[in-house]
Amino acid sequence: MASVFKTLVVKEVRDLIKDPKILFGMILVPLMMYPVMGLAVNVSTEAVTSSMGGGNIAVMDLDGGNFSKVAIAYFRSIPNLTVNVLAPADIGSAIVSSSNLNATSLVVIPPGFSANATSGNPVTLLTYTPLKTFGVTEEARARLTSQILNSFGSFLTEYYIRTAAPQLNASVVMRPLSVVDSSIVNGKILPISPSSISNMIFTQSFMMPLAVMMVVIIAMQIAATAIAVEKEQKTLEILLTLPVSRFNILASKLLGSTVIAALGAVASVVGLTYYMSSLTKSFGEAANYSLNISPPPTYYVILGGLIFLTLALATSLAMVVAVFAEDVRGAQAVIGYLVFPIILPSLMIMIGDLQSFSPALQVVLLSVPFTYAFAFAKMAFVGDMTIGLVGLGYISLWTIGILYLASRVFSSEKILTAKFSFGRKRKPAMRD
Amino acid sequence: MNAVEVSKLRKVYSTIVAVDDIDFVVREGEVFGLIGPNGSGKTTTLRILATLIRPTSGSAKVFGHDVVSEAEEVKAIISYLPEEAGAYKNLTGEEYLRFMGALYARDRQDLERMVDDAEEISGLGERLKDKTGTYSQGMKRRLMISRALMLRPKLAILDEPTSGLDVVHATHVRRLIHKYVRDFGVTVLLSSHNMLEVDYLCDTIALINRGRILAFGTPAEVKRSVGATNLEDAFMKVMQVG
Repeated sequence: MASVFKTLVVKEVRDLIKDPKILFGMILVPLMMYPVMGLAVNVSTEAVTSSMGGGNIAVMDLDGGNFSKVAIAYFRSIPNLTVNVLAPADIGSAIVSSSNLNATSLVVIPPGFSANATSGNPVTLLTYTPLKTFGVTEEARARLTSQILNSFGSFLTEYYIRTAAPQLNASVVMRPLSVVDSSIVNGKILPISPSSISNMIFTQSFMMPLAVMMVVIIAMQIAATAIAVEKEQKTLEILLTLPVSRFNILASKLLGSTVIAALGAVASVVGLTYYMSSLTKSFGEAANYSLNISPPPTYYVILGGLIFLTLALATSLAMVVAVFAEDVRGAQAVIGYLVFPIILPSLMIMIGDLQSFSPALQVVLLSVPFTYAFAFAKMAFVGDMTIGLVGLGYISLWTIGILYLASRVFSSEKILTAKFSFGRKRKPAMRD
Repeated sequence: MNAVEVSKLRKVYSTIVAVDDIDFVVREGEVFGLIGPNGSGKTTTLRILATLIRPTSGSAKVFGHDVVSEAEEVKAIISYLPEEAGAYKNLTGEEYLRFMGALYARDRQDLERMVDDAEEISGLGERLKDKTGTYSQGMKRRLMISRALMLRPKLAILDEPTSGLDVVHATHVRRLIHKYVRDFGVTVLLSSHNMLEVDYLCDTIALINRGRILAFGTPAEVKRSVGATNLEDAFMKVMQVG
């Protein structure tokens, strides 16, 4: 009997994986899409970095005073920054000249600049930055100009302090407070700011539930397709007369769908991990400490159990519904409706914090069996296993119930006679 | 032992009586034809015998096994070919046959014998290496018939076995059905619209209309009973009376 079941499962997997829509849509595309996205981000980042590396500004001095010369000297002292000083002219001509020099911005030092600076009054600099593509590179280059001028502002502040109160240390006056951040995670003191750790954990704890969600949705679509395609390709009647119990046929379809969903999930997670690694450079110091706060092994065991049960529940539910569909399109449409009530509460848990919701909303969210895997996935760094253990029991009950329902529906005539088109108008059937 | 025993069989779909208290027997080793117009109850009867649907009342037995209470035993000795049957379009013809054969074969040798048989029955040759999604309707039908016969079941239930086949292949299939009955003791219960086919193949026929059997016997007996010279005339006369 085991070999008959194995034959059925092998056929399911083979038939599904040879389907170009499943092979490309659920396995190859996620495997390639995320790395390509990561590559695109890396290429863009490198392009921005390289274009910023050789900064280039044009300066037009309409003041001609000592302080405007100080400003130009300051700009020239900045490493890797090319400063093109333009002869005084009208703004329009200066902009054209600046553009010809491929400068990021034109900085104009207006008349009265030196007089104001010398007398301790606020000074003004005018910048003109051309925007052509509105892309990330232009924005980054404009930000570079802003940073240059801000640093000149700091230079001016220090100058004013030194002039007005020579006895004071200007650097201390400008930065009188220094804060050294430490965070305490699970009793461990880590020399990192809480915001850095939060950023890192939010991203990591968001990825795990996201991966779970993707697997669940993929598995539901595959399971529903596995049933509906039998009707559409008119293979169901022969399948049901084979010397195999209907429960074994159902179980083989559940297992086959789960295997394909798992392959899809692995492809997605591998791709997504590469994509995220291209973004995590910004975590800086926090990334170095990730190993110190990784979840315990029992967390992974419970999470694995939750994901498995959630998959079993989702695929069983998808099959119960797909039995009533007329064809693959109908089955996928109804799964679309079914996914919404699963995704909505799960998204709320993924984005929000379960503990921060009202008790009534918590009860509502946790009454949906699909939310436990998502809620527990977020607990990766907290170390609280309660919700995971409760979820294992709760989803098990649901899974047993839905599996029982699926086996009843599967062994009834409904599997042959039900032909709902789920919202689409059916063509009038020709009577045989 | 009779291959099929049907007694007071009735099937009602909400308000429609598809099969209305019919009785008939199919003897082991014969070709039995269930003949009737569209919507007469042929397919419903065949589906009940194939364990796909349950009768509303009455009983149906295949080699002594009740199709409801002993469905698993029945499924092990029958091979059912629906009128509209398809193959898994992403599998090749050979993969499909091997999948089907593996569920029945006693060992590897038996499986290889089945696949060889199917290759001969279908006449698909090298096309068996192609995905069935690339097959024409006729090629799919030949694949389906070869699946049903390669298993050498005790009872083959064939719903319109040659529908969609050209004359050459339909003739080939009819000869093979005869061969499997003669050489391997397969009992065949079939339905057909083709009176030439019925006359050529069937040892016994039952003419059915509106769920009731109107005539029963050998093709010659049925023709004689209504004074017809051929089966098509006999069919028309019986249907008009019915």
